[in-house]
Amino acid sequence: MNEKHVLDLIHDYIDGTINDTQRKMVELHIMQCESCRKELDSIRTLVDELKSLPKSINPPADILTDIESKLSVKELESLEVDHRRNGKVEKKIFRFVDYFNTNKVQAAWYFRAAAMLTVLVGAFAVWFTLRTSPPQRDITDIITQPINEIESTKKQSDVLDKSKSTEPTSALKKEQTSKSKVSEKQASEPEQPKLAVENAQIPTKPITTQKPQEQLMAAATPDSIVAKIDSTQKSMYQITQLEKGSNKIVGRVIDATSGDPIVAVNVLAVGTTRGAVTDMDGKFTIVGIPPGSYTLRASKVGYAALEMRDVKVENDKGAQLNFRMKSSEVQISGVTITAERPMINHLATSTVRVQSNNEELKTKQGNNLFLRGGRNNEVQYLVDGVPVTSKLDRLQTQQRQFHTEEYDKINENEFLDARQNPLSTFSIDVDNASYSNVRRFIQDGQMPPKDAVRIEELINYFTYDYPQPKNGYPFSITTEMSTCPWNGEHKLLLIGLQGKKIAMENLPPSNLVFLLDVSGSMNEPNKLPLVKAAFRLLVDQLREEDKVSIVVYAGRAGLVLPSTYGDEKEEILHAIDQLQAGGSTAGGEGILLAYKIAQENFKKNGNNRVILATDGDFNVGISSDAELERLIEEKRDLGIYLSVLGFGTGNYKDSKMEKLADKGNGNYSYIDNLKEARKVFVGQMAGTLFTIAKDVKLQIEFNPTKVKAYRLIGYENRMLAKEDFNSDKKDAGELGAGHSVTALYEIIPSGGEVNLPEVDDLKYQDSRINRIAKKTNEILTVKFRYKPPKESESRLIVHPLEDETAELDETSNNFRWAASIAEFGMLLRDSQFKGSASFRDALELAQDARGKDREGYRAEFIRFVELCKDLARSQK
Amino acid sequence: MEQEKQLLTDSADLIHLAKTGDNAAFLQLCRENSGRVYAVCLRMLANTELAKELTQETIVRAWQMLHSFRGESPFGAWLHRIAVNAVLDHIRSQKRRSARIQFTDDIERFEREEEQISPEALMDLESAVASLPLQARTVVVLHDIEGYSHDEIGTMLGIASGTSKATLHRARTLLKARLGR
Repeated sequence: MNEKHVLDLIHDYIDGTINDTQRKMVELHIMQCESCRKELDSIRTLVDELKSLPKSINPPADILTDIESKLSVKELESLEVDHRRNGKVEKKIFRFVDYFNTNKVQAAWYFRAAAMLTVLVGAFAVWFTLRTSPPQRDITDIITQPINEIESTKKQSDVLDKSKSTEPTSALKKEQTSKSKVSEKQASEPEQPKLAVENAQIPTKPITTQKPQEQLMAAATPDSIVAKIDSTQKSMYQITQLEKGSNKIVGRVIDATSGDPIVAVNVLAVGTTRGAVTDMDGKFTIVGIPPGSYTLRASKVGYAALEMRDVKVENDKGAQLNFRMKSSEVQISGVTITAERPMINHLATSTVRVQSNNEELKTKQGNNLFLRGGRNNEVQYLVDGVPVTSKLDRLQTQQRQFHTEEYDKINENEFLDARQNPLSTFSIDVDNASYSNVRRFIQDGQMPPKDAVRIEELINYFTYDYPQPKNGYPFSITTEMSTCPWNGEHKLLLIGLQGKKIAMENLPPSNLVFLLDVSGSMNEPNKLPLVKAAFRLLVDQLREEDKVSIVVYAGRAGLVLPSTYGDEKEEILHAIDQLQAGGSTAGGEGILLAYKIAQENFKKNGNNRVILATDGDFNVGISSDAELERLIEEKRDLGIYLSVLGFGTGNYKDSKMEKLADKGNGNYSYIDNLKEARKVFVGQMAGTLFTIAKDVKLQIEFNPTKVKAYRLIGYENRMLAKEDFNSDKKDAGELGAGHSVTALYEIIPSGGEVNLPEVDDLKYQDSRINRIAKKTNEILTVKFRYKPPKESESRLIVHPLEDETAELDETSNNFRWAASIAEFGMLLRDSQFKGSASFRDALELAQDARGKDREGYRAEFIRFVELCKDLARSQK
Repeated sequence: MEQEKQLLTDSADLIHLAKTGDNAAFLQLCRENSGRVYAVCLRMLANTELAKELTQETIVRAWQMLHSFRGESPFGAWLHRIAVNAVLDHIRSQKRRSARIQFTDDIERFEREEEQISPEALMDLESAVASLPLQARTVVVLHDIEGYSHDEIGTMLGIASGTSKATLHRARTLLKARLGR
């Protein structure tokens, strides 16, 4: 453990954010290491002290006093009373609120005081009104009835509501009780002075309207302020009859408190355009008003508006009104200024045309003119001048900048001296992912990265016209030798293996577990949607004895489709359609689950296989390649194989996926379009899914009398040590039903020129060439080892080859086609052994060897060679 | 126990009252919790004036957001969370401002950011915490004193929880140095 790491772990140890293994590690370490022990103690002390710091610190005493006013203001603001004019009233309200806030008991007393005052003033007001109004017999009924109601509610009223509800209740009750007393009193004094004014009516709601201002003010919570403003204040006016002949309304407006006239009060007959403004003496005259009944409204900023209803104007009669206005806070509805801030749309762009001096442009033309935003990581978004690049954007930019595709470096096989190294051993490889990947690059108009080109995979992408095996062998062997197209001095040897074709219906039942990557990185048109389309093709191929289940992984692994028989296609397709991409990748976890499902549905003589579809970006769980590979090997030995289908671009982990399929005895294909998916799933269904021979190895012994040196083209990552050939423990490639494998050797015949480092002859051993070598016409012997799928012992096939070289144009299409691809691959790899190879020659060879080409794959290859020819030229 | 229950119903009543617009009840609740709020503000900001301001800001915010308080957590915890957010918002707005205009007249704050603490001046724990650079201080206060997890802190600060962890470790080391341990 290094020091920094231990230190971090010590912190985690103290915080308890550590797993068991790490905890044990730390405990073990601190037993041995004194300095770490001390560190642990001192950090622990510190943390304990920090934890025991008081959670509460007394704030300055005035902190809440200040706040109270802020809160009060807030509340009033929220009621849209924005402006208070009369300081006196305002103060009164707030003093009340303050009292209310600070001491509820005190507040309650205040209410009682207010209620008393209300009672007294109210009593006076009622008495006054009744004295000046015509007698109303039913007034007692109106008043007494609510009292009972109110009293009953009062008894039920909750303690919680005390501060609110008791106030009006008790106040009203007392007020009204006194009123009833008044009315009783009034009954004993039936003679009331007759009203001088006839054209004004007594207010219809005596209780409300007669409530004196003082009471309202005193009881003012913000709610009641608003109510007061809106209510009619009829106690404020007097009406007198005017002399005959005048058809107008005249009057005067005075301040209710001071009695001073109020200037510039707007007096309006509501609903008409008739109105007037008071003069310096507070007087107003509304002339020419037609007879009728009006509501007059007096209003001025800073005063509560007053309204008087049913002011009757008759011909030759006028009305005289005196308003007594109460100053009050003004109700102005808040002015809301709205402006829309446009949403930021990451997708939308706008064009801003900047006029610039032409001269300047001319001088800057060419290399010097540079526009900001010209590179893909340079589009800058600003909000109020602040850059707002999201983390995601930054990530994408990085991805654009740095290709995160991964390819293992390929060290090309070199020429080996046939005397020093007479044996060449390698494992077969039926993968062809490299071809589709290379195709993707070429289609995008760029040369593929060198290490993305695995020549054997390019060659094996195509089907060859090799004969079917006979005599119960799982595969046939074809060899052919001719002049090497890119070096006339050399020979080119083709070794072809053809796996036995098995008709679909003869295949053993399958137990397939689709393991689909639905992580966020798969959310691209050429990834998950293509995966879904590809699997739909495969589902069509399923028979009723086949079983399919789907496991997805992204953040968390989950079983989307439990094992379902192949004839329930609807169900399988439905499950596929539901798939959506999102989240991070927990590839390891997904694989575990997939294997578990495969195990549960294991078919003894069947094809048990997990089919992984991914862009290869495993980043959670079993994420070390080695650990993952071990798991795959372990399952392979149990009979569950792994096939890998690569999808997508930009984030593609080619190296990792090839390894996984390799370890899992499966195929690895790269699917870049639906056509490719059809090739893999429909055309080669049997081969993709059913292995006819496993651990297929080749060992070639060259005859040094005929061969000076040799070189295997491709298969760099499939090379085996010579002793591995006879070891049944050594894993090698699998051959699927109908699959073919082609290998090419470039051979320098004996006597040929080659620049190889000289090795001294051995001192103690005889490395002399024996008699057989000199006598025979055999140039080499090919040895094959393979195991039938269910067996663990290998079988050997030996195939000697005579030294017969055909002319290049007499060779089979197979030979020339493979040679053409090899030439093309070497050019893409810029191989040091490419000799006179050129795209033109490769093209010629290919065109000549195209054959039947039913599916059109070869024609496609020819187009790519043409494209590359142009690409290469343009790059020069 | 009885008393505790009494206190609980009291505060439930107060919350009910406060939600109906009773600011006296609301202030009573705030008064009960003001110490905690002030403490977190003071420790995160290391400035009494600002702490006072942010405590008040917290209370005003809480008043405005009171309707959204559903009583799922104790009022104190709710208020505390508002306080932390208010402080973080403040720090962010300060950062934004200072990113554009470098305030040079505020040397005291500037120096604290630059970690210019003389090593010989050993401090008590509180002032050592106050002397930490902004992010370190924030994380120490939130994690060690207030007991938030790294995940929560990460979300609040908009950083990865791993970053929060690393900052905490660094902050503790700094604290130890400043305490002369």
